Amino acid sequence: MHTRISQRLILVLLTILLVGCAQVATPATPPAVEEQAAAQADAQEVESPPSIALVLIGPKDDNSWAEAAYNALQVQAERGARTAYSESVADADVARVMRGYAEDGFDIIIAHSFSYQDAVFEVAEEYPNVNFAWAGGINRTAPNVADYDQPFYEPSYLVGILAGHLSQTGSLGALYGFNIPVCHAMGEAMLAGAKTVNPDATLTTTAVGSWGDVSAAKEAALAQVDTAGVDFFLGCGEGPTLGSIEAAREAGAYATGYVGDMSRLAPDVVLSSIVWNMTPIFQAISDATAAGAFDGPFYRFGVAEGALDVVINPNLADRVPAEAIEALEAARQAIVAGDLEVPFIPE
Amino acid sequence: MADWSSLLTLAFLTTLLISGIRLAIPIFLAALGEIITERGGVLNLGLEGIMLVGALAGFMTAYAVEQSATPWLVGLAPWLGLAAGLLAGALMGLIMAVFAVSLQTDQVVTGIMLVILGQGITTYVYRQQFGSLTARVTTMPSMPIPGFAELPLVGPIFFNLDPVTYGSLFLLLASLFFLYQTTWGLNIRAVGEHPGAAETSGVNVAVVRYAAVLLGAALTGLGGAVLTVAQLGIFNEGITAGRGWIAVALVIFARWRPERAFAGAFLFGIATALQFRIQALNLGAIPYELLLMLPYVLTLLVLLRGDSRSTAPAALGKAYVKE
Repeated sequence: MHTRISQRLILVLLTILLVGCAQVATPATPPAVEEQAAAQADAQEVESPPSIALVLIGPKDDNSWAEAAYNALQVQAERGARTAYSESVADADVARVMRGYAEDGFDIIIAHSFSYQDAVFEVAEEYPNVNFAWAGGINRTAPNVADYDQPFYEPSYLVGILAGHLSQTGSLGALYGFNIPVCHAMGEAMLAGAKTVNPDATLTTTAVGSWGDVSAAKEAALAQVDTAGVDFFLGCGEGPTLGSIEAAREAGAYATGYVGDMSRLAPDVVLSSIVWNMTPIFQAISDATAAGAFDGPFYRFGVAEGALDVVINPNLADRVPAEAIEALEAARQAIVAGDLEVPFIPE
Repeated sequence: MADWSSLLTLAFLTTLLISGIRLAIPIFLAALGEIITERGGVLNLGLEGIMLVGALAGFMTAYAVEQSATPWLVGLAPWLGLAAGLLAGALMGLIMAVFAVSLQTDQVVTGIMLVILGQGITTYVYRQQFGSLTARVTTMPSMPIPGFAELPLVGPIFFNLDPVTYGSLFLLLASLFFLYQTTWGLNIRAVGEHPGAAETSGVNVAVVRYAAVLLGAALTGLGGAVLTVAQLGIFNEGITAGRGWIAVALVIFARWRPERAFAGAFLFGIATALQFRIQALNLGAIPYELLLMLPYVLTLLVLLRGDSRSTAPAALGKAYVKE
């Protein structure tokens, strides 16, 4: 009997190992390391920019979070920097991947996920001469670890101005993966923006309970349509956003792309998208490193810094009245000029 | 804001039940498949992977048919997608059966292998075929039954559903008939309870177990295809989001009975739809975390009651070695 139990235990342990390994070795999500060394640039320029390695939690072409960072990395590669990246790296593997890049002599390693927190500070301590940055947004830094904020609530305010003009019912809906501060602040900022146009605008919020469950998110969005007459959606997270887009298609409502232009996905429904240009962040890290002045700052790049913005789906542009465009442009300029501070309501 | 009385209007109840049914169907089909498999004595934990493969196979087939733009074929695209989901599920079942029945491997480990295989292969194929997310197929329209669909409450709930829901009800009745009224059903239950006795009375245990595993996996694959082809119209990595595991648990709480699995899936769907509505109506003091738990807790509590006689098939999870 005892041998049977121990056999089972061994099997269970082997299974756990197998699961762990498979996440690394899944054919679809290889930690593909692609080097884009720019040797010819070295020959011409006096000094090439600092080398950068990027670690992503999802696929580099996800139309969203990971793609934003990948695009900024490509800009650095075009400048002549040596770059590398790894896709779909699980939290359990990220320390190993980052150590590999540090041993490879990269000057900068960017860990593009909040969930990489523990690993990035652990590895950064082992390699004091390498500069790190992570997507914390909570101002947790170290002498060689920068944190960069993601103030998505700022462009959400601009989306709200569009919603105020285009929502027939004045009832706006926000879908969050979970009710975390980043998401909550997005919904409230959208409402604040809409109220500048329509003082009677209301906001309905739902936590779907998952970042990836599109089907549940769609039902949650339809529940908002059924109970509150929502006809304009904002999603926080990929699953909630895709679900709200599908629900909007069915209910004849508008939806908003999340951290990437999603208008191609549903050209008749996605009125606007929040887009994230991470190049200013990468550039600041690169410049500070090149100057030897990197001291682990907290980068806070929002609408004013040109890192976050709203793009209107060209296919639906004719439905947006001229005064909505004017109001949006005025608000954007007021934020840039420092005259307008978007309310940050994290809970 | 809104108060609890808004929960009692006709329109509210109608949309609640319809949403609940949509949420229930994929889980029910996977659970029904697993009941047939486990009644035959094979524990297949790979539902999550099988559903994913069914979801992608169904989506890609419907997409290819729509793109072909053959006029008489395009209308059939969702149906061909569902058929592809069934077939892909059966293929995954074949892998399970070869390992578990012929090679007599540990069924727990083999099932988990199927989950990993399903996750990996669907991500890989989807990215190779579609790159990033823009592909879409037309979902199935609802099928109103003339004369009944216009009735209040019962009309929209029972007579204006999509064909998949009618089909699922049919499959529930068919599976009850199959398992309890036919020789094949008796053979499946026999090899799940006492394969040795079944063998001595002339039943080929291996053949029956192959059939049970393939049939069960086909239904599970169909459940995945329903999600993409009939309900959403898109595929996304990990689209099943744990429904396969919920189905595995549902089989145990339903005590291996199809009608109880149907009730459980329906209850789970209704509770999910209800908590989304309570959140949307902002009914005051309930923390949303508790509301998210509601479907799980409610289904568990209800299914724990009653009919404690029926239990797991006696030979469940054990490989049969002929003596």
